[in-house]
Amino acid sequence: MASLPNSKTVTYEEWLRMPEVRDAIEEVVNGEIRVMPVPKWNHGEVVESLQYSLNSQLDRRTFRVVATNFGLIICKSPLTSRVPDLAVFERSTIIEQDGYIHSAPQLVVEVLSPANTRREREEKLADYASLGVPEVWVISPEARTVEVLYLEDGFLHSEQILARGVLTPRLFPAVSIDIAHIWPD
Amino acid sequence: MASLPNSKAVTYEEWLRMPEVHDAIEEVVNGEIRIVPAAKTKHAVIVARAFRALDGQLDASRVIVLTGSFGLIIRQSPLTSRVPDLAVCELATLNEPDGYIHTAPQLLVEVLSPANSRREREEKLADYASLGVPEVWVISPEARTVEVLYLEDGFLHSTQILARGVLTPRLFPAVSIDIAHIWPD
Repeated sequence: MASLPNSKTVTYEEWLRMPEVRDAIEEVVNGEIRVMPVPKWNHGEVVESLQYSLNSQLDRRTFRVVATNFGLIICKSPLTSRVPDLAVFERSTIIEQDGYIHSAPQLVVEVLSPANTRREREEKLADYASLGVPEVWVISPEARTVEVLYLEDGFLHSEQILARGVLTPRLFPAVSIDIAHIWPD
Repeated sequence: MASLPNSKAVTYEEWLRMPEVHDAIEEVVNGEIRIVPAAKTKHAVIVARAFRALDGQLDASRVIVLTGSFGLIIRQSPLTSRVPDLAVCELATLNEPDGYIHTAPQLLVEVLSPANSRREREEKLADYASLGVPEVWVISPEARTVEVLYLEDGFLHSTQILARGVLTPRLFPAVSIDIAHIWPD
């Protein structure tokens, strides 16, 4: 994650003018661009099954469930932009500018992969907390668990880690997701 | 995991006569030999830390902590032999007539890796239950959790999944392992 020699940090305006990155995921952390490979097959399956479950229980006119590669602007200066694996937005709260989202989703879901380091995860959670994301689910395909975190006093606190049972997003009490149905096998 | 064409199941006696496998882990399931590649560094570091934490708190004249490539015979016919990541064995109950262990350790520890399929895990837990292993810890480096399973009515039941706190093996109540110290970073 070190900066390339001779690279400087990019500003929001510079970044908007840069060519789009294809076949990779581009995040920016304090102005430093980080390009990551597209996640593997099984990772995608977990996201897809959640997206399907959420979409089938949420009115699409009111809510948007996004699992495609979209930029969530955490901070414009220094520029920090993250790409959540999945996010649920109440449409009336979305602030979109320049093709990127500048407001907090009501739920963010991150699916872990073995390559994630502890520091990356803590950084991301701190970013989501600073944006005011009220709830984050961290899914481990390896452990087959879901960790639920709630925003309290400006921090995302781990509430529980579940291997079975039903998840209900705090802000969408009518939605229930059976954890057993998340896994591909 | 499919059998090679023309291979027949190997008996216990035949297996004892076969050359040792190096640089890989050899398990046998119902007579079928399965070669498992050696684990990666991160996996090995976690096993090493768990080993050190357990070994340091147990009386070596009464209890041994085993790691590395040791064979645990689940049953002789059809031959099933597993290689747990780590085992804690009371010497008084340990039976090891031929270089392999034929009795249930008091605690087994398995460290997951992304390559483990759900079916493999369930098979292994069923094997350990059939041997009468009273307690198994399943460690997920990705989720940074430890799942604790106890043997009850012939099955290994998951009792809790911990991300923090202290683990105490049911049969060694004087031992305590802080989960935070297991991870490499």
